[in-house]
Parts: sequence; C-alpha cells; structure tokens
Amino acid sequence: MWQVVGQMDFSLSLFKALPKLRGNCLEGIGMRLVFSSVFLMISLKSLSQTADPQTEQPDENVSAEAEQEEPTSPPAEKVERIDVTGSRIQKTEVDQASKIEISREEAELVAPSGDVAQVPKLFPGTLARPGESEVSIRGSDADDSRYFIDDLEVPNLFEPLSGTSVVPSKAINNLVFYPGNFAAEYGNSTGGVIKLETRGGDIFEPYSEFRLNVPIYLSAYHEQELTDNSTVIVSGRKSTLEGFVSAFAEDGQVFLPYFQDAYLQHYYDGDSFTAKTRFIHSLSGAELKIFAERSTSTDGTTEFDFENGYNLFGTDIELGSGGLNLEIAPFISRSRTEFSVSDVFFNIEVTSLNIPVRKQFEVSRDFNIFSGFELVYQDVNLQALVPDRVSQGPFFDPENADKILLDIDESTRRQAVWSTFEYRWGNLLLAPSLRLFSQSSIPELSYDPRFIARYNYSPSQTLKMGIGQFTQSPRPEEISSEYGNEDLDWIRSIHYMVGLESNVLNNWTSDLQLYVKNWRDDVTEDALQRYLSSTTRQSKGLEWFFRYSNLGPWFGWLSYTYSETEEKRGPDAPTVPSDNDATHILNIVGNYKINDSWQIGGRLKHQTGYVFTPINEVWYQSNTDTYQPISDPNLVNSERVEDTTSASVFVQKDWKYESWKLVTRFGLEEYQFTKSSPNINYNYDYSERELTTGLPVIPYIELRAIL
Amino acid sequence: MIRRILRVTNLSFLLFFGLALSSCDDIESTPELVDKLRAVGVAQDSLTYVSPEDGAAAVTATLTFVLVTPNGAGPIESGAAEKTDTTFRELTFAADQPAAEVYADFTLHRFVATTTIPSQSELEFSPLDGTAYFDVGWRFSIGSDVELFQSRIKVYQSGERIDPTISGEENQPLGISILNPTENLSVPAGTVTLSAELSNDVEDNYRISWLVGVGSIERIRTIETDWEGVAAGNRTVMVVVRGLRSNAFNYQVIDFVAE
Repeated sequence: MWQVVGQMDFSLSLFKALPKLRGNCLEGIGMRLVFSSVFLMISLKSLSQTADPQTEQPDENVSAEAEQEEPTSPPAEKVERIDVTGSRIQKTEVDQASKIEISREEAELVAPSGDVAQVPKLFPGTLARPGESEVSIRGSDADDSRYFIDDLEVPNLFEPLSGTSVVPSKAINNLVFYPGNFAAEYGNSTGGVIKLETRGGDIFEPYSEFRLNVPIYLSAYHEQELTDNSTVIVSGRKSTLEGFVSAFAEDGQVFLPYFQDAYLQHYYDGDSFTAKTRFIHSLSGAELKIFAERSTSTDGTTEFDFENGYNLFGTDIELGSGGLNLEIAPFISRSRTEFSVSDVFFNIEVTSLNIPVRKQFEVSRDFNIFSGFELVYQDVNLQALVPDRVSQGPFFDPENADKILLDIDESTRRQAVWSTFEYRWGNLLLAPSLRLFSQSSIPELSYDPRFIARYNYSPSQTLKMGIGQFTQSPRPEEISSEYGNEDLDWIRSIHYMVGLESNVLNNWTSDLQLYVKNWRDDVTEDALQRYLSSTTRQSKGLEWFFRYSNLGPWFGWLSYTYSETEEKRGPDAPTVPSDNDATHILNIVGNYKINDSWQIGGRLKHQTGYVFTPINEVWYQSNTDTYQPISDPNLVNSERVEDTTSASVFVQKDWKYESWKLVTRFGLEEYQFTKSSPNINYNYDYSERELTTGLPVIPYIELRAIL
Repeated sequence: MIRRILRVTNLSFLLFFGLALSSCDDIESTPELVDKLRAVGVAQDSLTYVSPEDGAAAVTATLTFVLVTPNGAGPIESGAAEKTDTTFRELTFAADQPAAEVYADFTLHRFVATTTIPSQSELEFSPLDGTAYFDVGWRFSIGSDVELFQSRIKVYQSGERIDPTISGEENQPLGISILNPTENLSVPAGTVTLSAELSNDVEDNYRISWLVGVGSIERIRTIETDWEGVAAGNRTVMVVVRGLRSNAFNYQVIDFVAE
C-alpha cells in the first residue's frame, strides 16, 4: 500500500485514485515476466522481387539512406528516377536560429524504443520524464509545445499506451526540432515545435513489412508507387498485449489494455501541384479491475475504464508558379476521450477544423517574403463528474476533493495571419516577422513580433540570435466560461537566444546557444476563481549540441544543457523551482557500424535529479480511511531526488544467407547506474519515504527476417 | 487538453508497471499493523443531519473518534488542531469518556465530542446533490506519535429530499461482523483466513479495513482475505467498514486463540 506521489501534473488526477500498489512485486510473478522478460520482435519483410545481393552490400561512403538494407533504393537501371525525390516544388522554409534536424535512418537507431518521434529526448533543451513520450522544452510544460506530421497538427502524436508514435518510422523522412525562437507560422505555443516530415515522392518499389512485436503488437506496412506520379503508404498496428497480459491476471482481476492505429497516405505529383493526403486513426484503451488500496467495494478491487481515440483526415497541397509557392493544408480531426473510475467519469469529444495556408514569394534572390494565415474551428463537448483539484496543492487527493458535474459544449475560433521578411545582405541574414491572432474566447486581438539574424562571419562559423514573443491560449478548461475563468489573458513568453554554429572538424558540427525565456500571465490555480493569470516564470540556460555525421560507419552526438527554471505562482507567492527544473542534462549518443555484419550503439545520460515537494504535515481523513499530506507553499519543489546516470546499449548482427537475411538486435534499455525517478514512495501514513527506482532495466532481443 | 489527459494515461502503462515492479521495496508499509497510535475512524450519531434555518433551534451532532494503540502505550493526549485553508467546527469533548477496551494485542479508545450543525446561511449547498459539508478536526498524540483527524460531516438542507439509501441506513445502521475466526475459539497459527459480512448494507461504496497486532495482511480492503504470520497465542483482529457516500461507520473487534 505504497503511496506514490510525484510532481507529475495529474490534471484531473483520477489516476491517483487508482490502486496504490502494494510492495508485493505486483501480485505475483506473472506481470514481472511480461516486462522483465525478453522482448521478442520478429519483423518479416516481403519484397516483390528478390533483392540484388550487390545492393545489400552497403558502401560505407554513400549516404545513410543508401545504407539501408531495405531495397527501396532503385536498381541501377532506374537511376534516372532517383533524381525525382521529395516534392516537385522546392519546399521553402525561413532560416531558423534554433533548429535540429535528423534523418529517420539515424533517429530510429538511437531513439528510445526505436521511435523516431522520441529522439528529441536526446537533444539539448529537453527534459523527459520516465514513461512519458513528450518532452518539456526549455522549461515549458510538455503540452506547451506543438507536434506536427508535415503541416498537420495532430491531437496526440504518441499512442498513449505503447508510448510510440502513431506514424510508422518507415513513413518518416526526417524529424525537425525547434526548441524556441521558431518561425511566425507556428503560433499558440510558448514551448517548442516538433515536426515529422513524411516521405512520398521517393517511393519506387513495392515494399511490405509485417512485424510481430511480442507481446506488444502486430503491425503491417506497405508502400508502393501507384503511377508514375503517385505513391501510397498503408500501415496498421494492433495490440496483442491484451491477450498476453490478461493471461497473468489473478482471479478476480481484469487487465485489458488495447490499442490500434492506422496510417494511410496518398501522394500525387502533378504537373502544377503536389498533394499529400493522409488519414490517421488511433484508438487505445484499458479495462482494469485490480486489488487496490482505494477500493470502494468489499471485494477490495477498483475498476478503471479508459478509451481514447482520434481520426484525422487532411491534405497538404503545394503549388508554385514563378517565384511564388503556395501551400494549403486543411485537415479535420475528431478526438474522443472517456474514462471512469468509481463514480467519477470524464467524456470529452473535440472536433477541430484547421486551415493553414502558407505562401512564399521570392522578390529577389536575396529577399523572400513568407506569409500565411491559419483558421481553426474547435468544438468541445464535455460531460464529467470529476474531483475539483483547485487549492489542494501538489498533493491532490481526488477522493477528498469536492466533485463537480460538468456538461460543457463550447466552440472556439482562432484565426491568425503572419509574415516573415527574410533579407540576405552579404553574409548577414535578417528575418523580422509578425504574427497577428485572435481567439473567440479572448476578446483581445494580439500580436507576436519576432526577429532572427544570422551572420556567417567565416565559412565555418555562423553567429545567430533571436528575440521574439510567443503567445499561447490558456487550455480550454481553464478559460471555459462554465468551468474556468473566462477573464484569463493570453499566456506570453519572450524568447531571447544567441548562438554560434561551427564546423569544428571534418564532419563535426557544434551548435552552442544561450537562451533566456520569460513567461507572464501563465495560469495559476486559485481557490476562489479556480484559475488566474498570475504565474510568472523564467528559464535560462546554455545548450551545446556537438554532432558527428559523415554518412560513414558511425554517427553520434553529445548534447549538454545547463538550465535554471523558476516560477512565482501569484504576486504574493514565493519564487520556487519549476517542476521542469533540471540543472544539468548530458546525453551522449552513438552508433558504429563495425563491418557489414556488426553494429554497436547506445546512449549515456546523466541528469540532475527532479525536484519534488516535501511533506510537512499529514491529516487522517476519516471519511475515506486515507492520509492526506500537506506541504508548505514555501517548500514547493524545494528538494530533489538523486541525480541519475543511465545507459542503453545495443548490438546488431546481420546473418546473410543466400536468399534472405536475419538481423538480430539485442541490448539493454535505460539501465540506471544511479536509481532515480521523479516519484517518491511513501508508506501509508507518510511517516516514511523512499525514492522510487524508476523503470526496471528492460533487456530485449529483436529478430528480423528479411526476405 | 487531450494531450494533457493522455499524458496521465500514458503513464498508466509504462509507469504503472514500472512503479508496480519497483514497489518491491525495502521498507514495508503496514497499515493493518497496530504498532503505534492509529486512527480508525469517526462514528456519527446520525447520517442525516439537517441544517437548521437561521434563527431556529441549534442541532447537535455527536461524534465518536475511534483510535487503537498497542497495549501498554502511554495515555493519549488530545487538543484542538488547525489546518491551512480549512476552518474546523468547534468540538466539545465530554468530561467522562468511555473506558479503553483492552484486547489481547491492542487497545481500543473512543473519544466522544459534540458539535453544532451550521445554519443554512453558514453553508454552501452543492447544486450537484443539494448537500453541504462542514469539517471537524482534532489532534491525538502519544509522545511523538501524532494523529491529526479530519472528518467531513454531510449536511442536508431543510426541506430537501434526503438520499433514500442513507435514510434507510439510519433506521438500521450499517453493521459488520467477523465470520472467521470465531471469537474466543482456536484456529491454527500461521496463516488465518479472515472473513466478515455486512448487514443492512445499501447502495453505497464501502471501504473495508482490517487491523491486527502481529503479522501482515496483504489485502486489507477485501472482506475476505488472508492474515499471514499469525503467532501462536491470544490474538486480536478488528474489521472496520465505512460508507463513502453515507459516512456510515462500524467495526467489530474480537480475540481468539492461535495454536
């Protein structure tokens, strides 16, 4: 009956009403077998034709993409088609001050869980919490950042149960990460931007892959060229976990997690335009009935049901004429989340229509104008009976909180126009920009001025700077007229950044940045008005990204972040470290291809311990037979768990046979030399505590048969 | 907001298991063990207090604070307590309190207090179910062992419909009795199967707990469970039930012999 208390933001905190897991190693050995046993992945790739053995001998001097054993590389006689890659129309972007880009080939070799979308966890400026796929960027909360698949902003990039991206890695071309000072076309964010850019025009040969990841899921992927100017990607994934896990449930318990997702893409490259049309489906849920400390029935069990899903349909159209490029990417999404535990329930449906339009006009060789507009219509329908977490502080207890009944049907419209003027004057590039925006729930029309400059003062070194305002709307529940405070203001942040990009040695690049980020009018929970625009926050730090990449046998990087993030939750509140404050974060990442058969790679991470709030008073709640901890507001986030160092390693061996190849990959994921996690375990009455040790080390073996 | 919710549920998988696995801890958490001063609950003399209208005669509630201590523990001291952001209703403790009940493994203490029900203008009634709450709090201690009690008392509005399941309970109060082991009879030492049954239970959410002086109980919230490490000798077991909606509260304590 351990009380597990962390600094995670349980917005509705229903999860804390869930079982307090007893120190008995999860009700038996069965569950442990599932997660500490070998993970077996079998991937069968069937090809429409037998690959030429010559094409399977990677040339160490060719590109990383060409190193792929997957036979998407066109045969020699089709070399002329290699030139037709990507969009027919050149994709134009404003030069950025803070940007990291990584190819899918590199990312999936080193990213956590092999998931390309999680590779930002290894970049400077990010803080990742155990078990979470999203990252906190430069002191922001994880949900202050925006996630895109090309130009489509998805409700949730990560499938919530497996924690991996809903877009299959094979469909991704590269990942782009903007930790701050991003372009004016991205609004409603005080954090950063993470964008997955998908493939389309580079698909020539049919390619199919069937994967059984025991015990998690079964997936199928297929891509092929339909006509000379169109391609298609079809992918689906279905969990197999439910049958496996439920087999280990004890009598009287039910444990049925499930998920499924699908990704369909059609790409058309016409004479005057290109169009990439996507349908994305994601559905996940869980049914649980387990023995729990917070049980409300005499059999000692608690039931918990959860389901979440969304469907997104959108298209990205690009057309160009002369010096003008135009992109239109309308998409519609509908998402739904339901959960219930005991008598508490929460059902929400969100329908959203987004119409972003973007154009680039080349005035002259040195002068480009980027501009666009964005229209968003969002309808939120919410029914809930939930505990009101207001004024309970960091140790929110849903059972002891007042419950509120919500029935909200609200619509929101957002509109924005933006322009960036990019002018190059010799070695100097200047890019002032302005974003004007409004939202139906906030009467005030607002604007974000931004400015970026880059100066190439030598062939190998570029100085850069950025300053700008980045504004974000309060969350729908916070600004809701029925539940929150409709008088909340925009949340504003100012990003300051200076940096130096260098080509240090052959194939070594360095990106050093200093940043300061100031927030004002962030939302504070208040006992009377529920929410107030009264939090100020500051994050400042140094980031260094030192990267090696020569398209040869190895690649890797070192990323280091020094940062301090503090906040003041109201005019009379003390200044305290933010939940996202971690002074030092170091990541060393590498992968080395020893020869045609062997590869070795891994990650090493060191991080300052997470902050947490100590308890200085505990009350016995007689109505629920539980103990409620209380903290002193002056002690919020005043202590830290231990610093932690962890390593992940893998070895890959390719076994080549006459007509097929077997790839074996094995290793350890997140072995902690110093055990630490943001969660603290307390005994039943909080008289004793100990640090949790985070996730156990997970050894895995992956087998892939390539036919 | 969706992403925010999902961040919670995202934890529900990896973190759920991670915490479960990492819960093979060095320090045991033993809420079932009476090894120090322990709060058990608060019994009300009624489950249907009605708030008087302004100027009407005062309505009094009688509350009984129940605690247990290991046998031989020092005298319990008590006094008023204050809690940040919570205003407690004043309590008056009678001069003559019930005598402590000494069992084989631990001692049961009861402290009876009265308070007045706030008038309607002093309360804010929920539009959800038409009820309001007020809080009482008190401090009990033996040396450095301190139990800070908080109890929320549900109050109905005069003239409002009272939950029929609750009013039914008032006529026939919720009961709980231990079926196994049987009082004063012998059972084999080691592992003892505990079972109890409710009486006059209605459509409420119930929270069970077991309290013992030795050994450990893996699932203290189930009405039938196993008690391990029962040493031979005279032993005591206590079962408690609470109605989470009604505030109903009852318990039974028995002694038996483990051989």
